[in-house]
Amino acid sequence: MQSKNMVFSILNNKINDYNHSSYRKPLVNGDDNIFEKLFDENNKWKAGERPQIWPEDTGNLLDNDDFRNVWHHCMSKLHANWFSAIQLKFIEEKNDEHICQELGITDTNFLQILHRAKLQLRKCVELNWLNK
Amino acid sequence: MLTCKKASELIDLKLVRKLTVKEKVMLRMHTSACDGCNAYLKQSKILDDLLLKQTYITNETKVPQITNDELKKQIISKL
Repeated sequence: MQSKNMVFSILNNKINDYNHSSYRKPLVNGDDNIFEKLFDENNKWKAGERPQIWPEDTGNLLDNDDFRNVWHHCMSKLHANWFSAIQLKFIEEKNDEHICQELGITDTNFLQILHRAKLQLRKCVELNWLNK
Repeated sequence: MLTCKKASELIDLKLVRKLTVKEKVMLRMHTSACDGCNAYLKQSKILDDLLLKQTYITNETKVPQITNDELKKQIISKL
């Protein structure tokens, strides 16, 4: 029994190590092109990408099953590193310094990750929820 | 004058640290003239609220819904 537990705890640590190592390659520059998608050469919103006004009452969105499905879908579309940063900040409510340490990124990278993640989330919600 | 790209960055930056007076003024000037960024300003806030409120939602954790309207009214009237 004890050896079984030991094997599980070793495997668990391995998985954690793997997760952490994948966080440590933050996609901040290069690989993603969200800015190119959203902004034109003058850094203005492209015509089809400009945020539209959302309906006033967004207070109880998470009570709505359809919205929750959209939200879940949009969260799952985030790059793993972006998702980790968001999860640590909002769900585990860790402080920013701790998050940077955990993910092995600088605070500038962290800001960029949060910013990009939110741009993408916003676009995804608007596309799948409000434009339905 | 700020670009939309920079303005949206400042909007999200507000979540993490206080903006400087100069940044605030520049952002205010931009959003008062730019519908897209003005909308983003509000939506960034909505996203923060949603992110804070959610416990990571999966499709499995659906909240049971009350389908009986009469019962629903009774419950609401008692709240």
